Amino acid sequence: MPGERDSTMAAQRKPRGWIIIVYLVLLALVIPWYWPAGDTRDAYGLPLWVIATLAALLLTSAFTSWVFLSWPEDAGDK
Amino acid sequence: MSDLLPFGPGAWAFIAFYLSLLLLLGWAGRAARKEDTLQDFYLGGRGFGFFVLLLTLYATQYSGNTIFGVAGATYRFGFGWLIAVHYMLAIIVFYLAFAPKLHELSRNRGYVTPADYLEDRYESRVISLIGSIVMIIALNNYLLAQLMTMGRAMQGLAGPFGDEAYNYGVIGLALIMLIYGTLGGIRAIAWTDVMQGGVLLVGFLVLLMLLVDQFGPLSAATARIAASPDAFKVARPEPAMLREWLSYVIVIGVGGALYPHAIQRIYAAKSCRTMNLSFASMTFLPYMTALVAVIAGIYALAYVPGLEGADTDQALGRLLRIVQENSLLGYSVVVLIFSAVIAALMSTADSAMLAISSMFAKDIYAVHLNPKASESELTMIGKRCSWIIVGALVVFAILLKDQASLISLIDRKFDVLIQLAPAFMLGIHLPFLRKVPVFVGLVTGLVIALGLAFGPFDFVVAGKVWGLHPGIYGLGVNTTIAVAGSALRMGDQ
Repeated sequence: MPGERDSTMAAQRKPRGWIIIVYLVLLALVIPWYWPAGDTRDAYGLPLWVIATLAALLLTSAFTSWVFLSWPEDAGDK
Repeated sequence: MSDLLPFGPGAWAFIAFYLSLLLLLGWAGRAARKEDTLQDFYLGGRGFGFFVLLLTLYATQYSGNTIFGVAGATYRFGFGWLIAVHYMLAIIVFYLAFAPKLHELSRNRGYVTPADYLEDRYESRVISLIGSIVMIIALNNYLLAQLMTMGRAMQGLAGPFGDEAYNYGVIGLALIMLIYGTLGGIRAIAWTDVMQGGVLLVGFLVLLMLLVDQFGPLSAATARIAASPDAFKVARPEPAMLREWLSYVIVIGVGGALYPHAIQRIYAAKSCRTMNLSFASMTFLPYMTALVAVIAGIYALAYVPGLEGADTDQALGRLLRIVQENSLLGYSVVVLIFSAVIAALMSTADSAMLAISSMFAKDIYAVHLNPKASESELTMIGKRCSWIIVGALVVFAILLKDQASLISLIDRKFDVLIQLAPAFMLGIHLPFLRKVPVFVGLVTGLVIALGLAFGPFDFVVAGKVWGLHPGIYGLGVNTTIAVAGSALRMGDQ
């Protein structure tokens, strides 16, 4: 039966839907839609909105790294 | 690179030494071969450890365009082109959606090509054939662009002999790539990627130090731009560009994760743990590459103003020429950066070449032309396919030498590739997804993406509709059909 076969193909692990929500929040922080247009203030040569974007990108990197490293080992790894 | 001073014999000797090493690694890859099978030739016996996997993923993901294209785009759009850092990171994020599970399946079920998963998951040769064709077309386009850039890189250094240098550059570098790629398969390519990735990383680091040394701190460059007519390039991008930002992140993030050569590296990982460790490290590499290219673009905007249109892609070349003329050290560093560009081009092109040959041999020849072919026969067919395809693309690259606009017109690979996302990324998580809705969604998505991209529509501006790539509209409809159609069929049953 296709249904039985598909269930062996599809992910067996507990879905982690909250990860998608975290990514959506991070996406909203990286793209600087919230920053005032025309603001050219800077710190150390970087406009402030660039610093905010880079900080959100670094958070995204750290979070992604954590998700990959916390992935459960599969049978072949044990 | 057409603005650089011609290289002297010492620089050419260095580049020749570097290219010879690639051939040596090709031979070493052949010597390390364990058996004459597709799995050994195209996946290195599924034995890639952390270090090799990380650098082969890195060298493959970052092409020559990362350096010159991103710097040029930053010159045009200013700090807003941080988009490049975001989309390079997005590729890794989208791997998360399917790579760990796909790796596990590939090991249990012996996948060699991306289409092997499609056929296994949907029990449909039609879906796997369309998947292969879409991937082959996208990769051929990509490979042609890399070959043409190799030619242009050589052309720029040959002074009055530029035209001949373009042809010899394309032919010579393609030949070297073919020799080491067909000698040692993925092993040779991954080992050369380790070297190329290393050169690329060092090249970017040196570039950053060089810019600061030559032109002063970034704050001075930003201040110069802020005081110039380009001051708006320091401010936050306009809303229209923010929409493009989102569009690039989705299109390149999803499309880049679905590159067939990237999927084959998922299959080639020694273990899921090794692969995850490599991806976890990859998340920080955009800051050492794409961000450096953005900073280089900012320096160019500040210190080489006045470039417009296609000339903006020469922004970094102009900067490097200033460095090159300044001192012997500067000259040597430019030679290293040039080698890094060649490394980036070749490491991307060789992986594309091998992926195309594997898909032709395994998905088309073995399934539709000669189902009784043995593994060694298929490996041989794959090697011949590499020579024929690269040979044909070399001819195209030479014939289309002056047709840069034509190439950018046909460069819709990501719009096309992302239509495979529901089949891969959703199919691996949603057991109820069925082959007919997935097939109809895929075809509809392709028609919409290509129709919007090439159709005579006034509302398509600069290849985008309301700032979004045509592929995104196709993907939206494609996903809706695949999911809703499967849910309805499940309800019927």
